[in-house]
Amino acid sequence: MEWKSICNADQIGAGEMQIVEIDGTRFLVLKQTDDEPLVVPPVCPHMTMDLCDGFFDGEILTCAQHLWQWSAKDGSVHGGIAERPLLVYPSRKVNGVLEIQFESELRYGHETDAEETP
Amino acid sequence: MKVSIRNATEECQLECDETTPILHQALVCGIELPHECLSGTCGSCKARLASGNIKNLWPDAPACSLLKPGECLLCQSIPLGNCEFEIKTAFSRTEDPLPAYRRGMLCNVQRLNADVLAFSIAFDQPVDFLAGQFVALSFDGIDGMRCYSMVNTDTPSRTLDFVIKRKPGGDVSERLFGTSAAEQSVTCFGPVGKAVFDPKQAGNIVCIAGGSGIAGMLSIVGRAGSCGHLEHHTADVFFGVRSAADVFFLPEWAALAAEHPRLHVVIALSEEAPTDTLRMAYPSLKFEQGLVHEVAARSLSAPLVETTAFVAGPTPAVNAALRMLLMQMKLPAKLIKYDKFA
Repeated sequence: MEWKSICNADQIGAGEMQIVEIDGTRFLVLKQTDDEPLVVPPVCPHMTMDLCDGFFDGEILTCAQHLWQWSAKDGSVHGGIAERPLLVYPSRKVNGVLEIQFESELRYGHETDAEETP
Repeated sequence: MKVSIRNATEECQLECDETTPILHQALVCGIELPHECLSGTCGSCKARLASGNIKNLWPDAPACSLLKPGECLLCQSIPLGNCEFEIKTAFSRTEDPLPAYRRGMLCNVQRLNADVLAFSIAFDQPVDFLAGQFVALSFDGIDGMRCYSMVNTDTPSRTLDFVIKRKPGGDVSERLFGTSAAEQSVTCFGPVGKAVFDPKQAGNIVCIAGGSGIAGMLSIVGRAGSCGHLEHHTADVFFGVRSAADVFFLPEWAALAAEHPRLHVVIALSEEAPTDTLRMAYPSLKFEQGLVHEVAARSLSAPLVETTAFVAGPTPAVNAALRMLLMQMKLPAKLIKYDKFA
């Protein structure tokens, strides 16, 4: 699987989130309070709400629609409402550039009839 | 007609008739399929028709534009014979009281200010509901259903009370605000809604409401008062409107605040400073200038603990309140109650 550059690592401040679009694919980059990035598809695994409309406090991402919550460390479920974790693109920083392992866009089952990409 | 609905892990079977939408029939039977608005707006109840045929009650429903080929809204679908559906989300059991279809009579239409009306629906039999719940109403001759929260404190009740804000061009709004608001029969489906007051779990209460979202808050706080909850817990109510001309229910809130020392009610005016006249007319209420979530943030102390927050109103006001409660007040999401039915 190839590594794909998606943005400069420092263009997103610690504790902030930003949508990055590369070749027509949108990624949501969450920068934790300690500046570590998490790159996820920008839609909620529940009902496809846009997660960039959600709330991010540097540690926990909350979808604005039904308050599903996930840890920005690894996309795991937080807080007892969310029923599914976030899909996560493996990422790394190389010379100040944020790269992700990318084969194809990660999608949840509700977006397509296909099974989910693990 | 037999209808089966399945997701990846479970399946339910329903016996449906030719008049009741499939979603509503499921809720009547105690099966909680995903839903919010019951009325074709939110798209939460979309499903894929795997076999069989349906009639779409409202092809122009706003959420129909979100559907892909082969998908339908269960709240707008009547089966034409046996059908099978697939959904992507989990379902559970509905808790009592189970919703039902009822016919009632419109009555007590009363102007509260230039843009807000109170109205009631009277039923032959008492209707049971939980404080904070809502119903979907269908007015004869007007397509679709619209959702309204009950204002009532006492339950069960043979009369359900509601408020409606004027919406220029809205069919129900025009009828109720117009001259044709004489007695007429109305179809009511409900009660539904999960943003309910549970005295065993609520702890202290915070209510943040914009405009007509205050309706359910009156029910919640009224119930908290009448069941003794406010003898041991506080309730902080923040009611946001644009100006003094837009306020309503102030006598009701003033009476509750005078009766319950642990209840604090703040009226937030977003577009003007409150006048001394207003303050003198309602000495048991507080008046402040600002957006309702900003006024609430100034009054509350972070972090909120042992507190349940109820939020209702126009979407921008709701989202701003949610953001404030989660980010500033560090309130866990599961202690925030709201129904997005608009």
